[in-house]
Amino acid sequence: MNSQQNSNQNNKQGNNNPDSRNPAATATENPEQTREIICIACPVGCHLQVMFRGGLAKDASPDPDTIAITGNRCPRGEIYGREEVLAPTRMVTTTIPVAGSSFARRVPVRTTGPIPVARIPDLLTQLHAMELHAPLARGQVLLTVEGSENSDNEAIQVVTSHRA
Amino acid sequence: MTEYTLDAAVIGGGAAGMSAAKALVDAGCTTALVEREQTLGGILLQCIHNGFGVHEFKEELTGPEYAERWEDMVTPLAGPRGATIFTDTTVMELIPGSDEGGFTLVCVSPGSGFFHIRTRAVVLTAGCRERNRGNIRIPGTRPAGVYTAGLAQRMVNMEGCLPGKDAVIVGSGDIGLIMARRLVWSGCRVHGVVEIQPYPSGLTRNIVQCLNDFSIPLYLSHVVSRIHGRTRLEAVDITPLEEGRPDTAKTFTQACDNLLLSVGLIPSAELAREAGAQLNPLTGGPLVDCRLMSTVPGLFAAGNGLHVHDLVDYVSAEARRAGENAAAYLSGYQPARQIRLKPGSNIRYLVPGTLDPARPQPILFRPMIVKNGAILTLSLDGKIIKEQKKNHIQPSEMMQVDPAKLDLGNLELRPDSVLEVSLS
Amino acid sequence: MYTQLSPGQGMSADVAIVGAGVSGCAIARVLSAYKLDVILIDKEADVCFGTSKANSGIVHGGFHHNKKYLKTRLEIEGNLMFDRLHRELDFPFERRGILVAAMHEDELKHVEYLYQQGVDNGAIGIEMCSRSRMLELDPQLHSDCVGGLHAPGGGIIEPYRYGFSLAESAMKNGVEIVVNFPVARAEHSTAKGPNGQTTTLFAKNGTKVSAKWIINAAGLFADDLSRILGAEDFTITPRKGEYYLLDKLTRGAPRKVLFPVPSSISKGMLVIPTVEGTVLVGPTAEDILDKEDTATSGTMLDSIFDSARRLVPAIAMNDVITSFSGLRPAMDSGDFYIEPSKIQSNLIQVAGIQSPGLTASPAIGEYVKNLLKKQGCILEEKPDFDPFLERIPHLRDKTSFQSEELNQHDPGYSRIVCRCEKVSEAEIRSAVKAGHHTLDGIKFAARAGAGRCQGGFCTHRTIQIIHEETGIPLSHISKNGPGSEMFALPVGPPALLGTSPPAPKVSELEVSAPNAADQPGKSNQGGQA
Repeated sequence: MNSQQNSNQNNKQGNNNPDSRNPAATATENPEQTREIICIACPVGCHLQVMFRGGLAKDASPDPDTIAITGNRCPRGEIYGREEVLAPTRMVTTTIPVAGSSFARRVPVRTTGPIPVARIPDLLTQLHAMELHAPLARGQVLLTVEGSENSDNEAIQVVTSHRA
Repeated sequence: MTEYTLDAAVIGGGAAGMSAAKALVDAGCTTALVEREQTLGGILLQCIHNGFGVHEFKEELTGPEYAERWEDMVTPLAGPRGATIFTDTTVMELIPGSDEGGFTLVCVSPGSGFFHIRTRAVVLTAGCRERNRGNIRIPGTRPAGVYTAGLAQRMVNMEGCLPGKDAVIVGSGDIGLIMARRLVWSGCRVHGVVEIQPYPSGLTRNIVQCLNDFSIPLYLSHVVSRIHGRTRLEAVDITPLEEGRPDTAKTFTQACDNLLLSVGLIPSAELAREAGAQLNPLTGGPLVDCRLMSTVPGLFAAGNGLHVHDLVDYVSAEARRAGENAAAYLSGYQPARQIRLKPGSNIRYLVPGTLDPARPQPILFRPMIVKNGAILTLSLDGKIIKEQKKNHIQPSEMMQVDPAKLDLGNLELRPDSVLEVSLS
Repeated sequence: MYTQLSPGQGMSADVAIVGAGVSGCAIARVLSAYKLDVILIDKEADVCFGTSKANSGIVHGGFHHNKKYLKTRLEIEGNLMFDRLHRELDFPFERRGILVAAMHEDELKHVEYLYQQGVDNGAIGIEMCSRSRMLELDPQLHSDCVGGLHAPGGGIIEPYRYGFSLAESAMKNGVEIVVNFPVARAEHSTAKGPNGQTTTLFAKNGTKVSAKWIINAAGLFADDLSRILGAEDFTITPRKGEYYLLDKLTRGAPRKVLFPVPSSISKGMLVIPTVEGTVLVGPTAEDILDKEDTATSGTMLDSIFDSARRLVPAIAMNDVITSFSGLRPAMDSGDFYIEPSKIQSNLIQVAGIQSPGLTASPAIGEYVKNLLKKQGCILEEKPDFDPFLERIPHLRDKTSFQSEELNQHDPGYSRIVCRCEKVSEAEIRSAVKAGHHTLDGIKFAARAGAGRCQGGFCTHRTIQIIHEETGIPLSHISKNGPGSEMFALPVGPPALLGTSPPAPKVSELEVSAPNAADQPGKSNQGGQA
């Protein structure tokens, strides 16, 4: 009898990376020693080994000084790996219903920069409950994402990415 | 019946069409830009994620932003500057003229009914369509809930309607991956992405940010082998492949209420085919020469309607070349000679099919292998003229070489010369 | 427009026809010429959503069976009625002719037998052909052909649009069509009326239809209905036929309907041109148990195409747009069973209508009318019966000048919704107005979504148009009736973020069974695209 588990181990890629954003993957009580992530700084896709010296307790934030990264083929991998482990951020895009437009029922929106991953669910819940009114121009500011700044310390905003 | 006579017509007002039309107008040609939807932009308008424009605008834009930037450049060309933009207009027929060349476009639009556009050159930029269930022949019932990823993308992003609450996605191309994230973000669980190849078809960035972020399993070397459900999709069977053959003993069943298919794109080449152009069986688009001109004189093609690209920036660039070449054709330019381009080992296809040594233009191609540290070799009549190391190649990433950098002037060219591109 | 009864609601009539396939629709249309209240009921959301939509679409040539069978006599009679019906109802139909091609000398004997049978049955114009005559009649035919038979009276038809037009014509002449009405039980009144008893049919939700006469045209479910009515006990065996539909740009489109020399089980794998320019390859023939199992198997794909290429070498698997399967309601006798019930005197059984049921359907309508008359139903002609339907123009059939005229009449003809089949918004709106409120209904009635992209580009527009015309919320618009809603949920808060994903429900199958009948999944009706 062959189980799905078996075939998964052979052929499933991508869900076996223990990851702090995914509590399911850190459900063990043992401190995390290493984490594997794929570098996306370029298309090569190096598999980075992030080591936590002394181990990382469940739900704890890693200490920058305890991190060591191997597996990267260039310095960009080191930078990516540290950021991804210490403060992962993502761009968010979605659409919001718009009333009164002659050609659109929803308008696309985006964040002006990457925001902390932990803030994404609340932001999407908030955006999906909004309703806008036409006319709207591209780049119109809808709200500011609290607790998120870009490298110039400017607050990240949600803006329309097309007219409506 | 109203009739317009212009130098050129561009069919399709998406990324490729806007770029081709701008190039034609910039070169002084009066140009019709015909778009079937009410707004320019094409499929970009439903691609609301970011990552567009890195080459064209040197910044990361969303699809709608990229489209609107182009629209802002193209709209002012209408009127005295030479462009006529027909939106909400479908080209029903593209009829090549008999002796003196030229084309008649039979068009229809709710505003003006049926009308004709007569031109001496046409650039086809009609985009592509998705392969569907029938094309990949998944056995089983025919319930509601089985959709192409693009249809689901349209419904979720532009209409706000979800295909269900539990999804499985077939195909790990970028559209499938991006839809996985979109579904999760919009309220639908994604239970897996099933890929027939032993490697993912999409960009690594999308694997990480669209699947790994949400712990979505990626089943490589697996196929959806059966669809279950009477009226609504209830489950799919997923079967691993062992050395290319389904290992049916390891089949498992995944409950789901929607199945999205992201199983490849096919250029919309019907108008070209009806006009008499020969198609390239490897790309599905028209066969084109060094000018991106099909086997029908004056009929050019670019963008996903020529071959399927993975970056919109390359679409815009290719269409700009097609527009410029169409303008040159209209002013009487004919290449003195053409070098045949030949796909060598590990190359699926090359576009265009020939090279004009007097006006060398980039050659686009797809590798057939995944490799780090590959060698790209160009050889002229069997003699290696250039070797280049490539950090990483994979079939999902289109490559290009620019023969303008080859110093062709110093090479010995025969009338029947062949330039071969290969990867090892 | 179809009627949908709300819970508790009831209707009564002189005649209730159960099953709105081509037989039921043809009977309803014949009866609509008389002063009778007629109700045609169906369990599906639209008419012809069962066997009638998923078949070969052939008007047969009258040589396949001996005329000792009722089905053969009705086939020959029905065939001759199509020209008039076509003029009256304007459904897609062409007398292309049928070829039976022998590929070996030893097959010619059987062809000759068919020829003699055809002559005996009175099939018009039937001829034996030499190899060169066969290749001249259809140049797509494999050059290995050694000769064959030509039945010029055979033809091709779009079965669902034929059925839709019968239903529409019946409605135009006063027939009520009640959809989403699966008969769950029946009661016979004890009171003796002028025509004997009255029968009341109940659906699960308590809605009811009563009538003096019941016609059982329930197709695959005719045996179940007969039992519900307390009438004869018989068995309908579903015989599955799987088809592949090829793009109209295929290089393998024949001019004629091409048959190989038939085996003892089936007429064999055919290559069939369609009126719309696509090509059908099929059908397989497989007796199964589940009357709703229209799953396609894919396992026979190679053999199907090998077989088809023996007739037309240019057939390519890459041209496949979609596949589907249909179930033919076969009875052990191998013949139609059309007679008054010997147990329930107000019931006419119309069962076992498998091939050539489509060809026979116009004659079945007349035959059942005569049976009703014999049973004592009074038939008085309606002076205002109008046999004609208004032609709905299709843009794809028009020249640009004709199209310009259409556009001046209705600008909706100038907005193309389905790019593959060139279907305009106006055509889709008229299909919705005619009662087709599902995506499959629109696909069969207007061809939007029937082309090479299979609705990838136009589905969102069609959903929007159905919504605009009917007020049905977007989330309720379905593929083919309740339970098959396409995009039923609104975009909402994210799923699974910050929470642990529930373990996917996974079951294990020991072996993936190639036979669809072994599969636990239930199916809905397959459809010709």
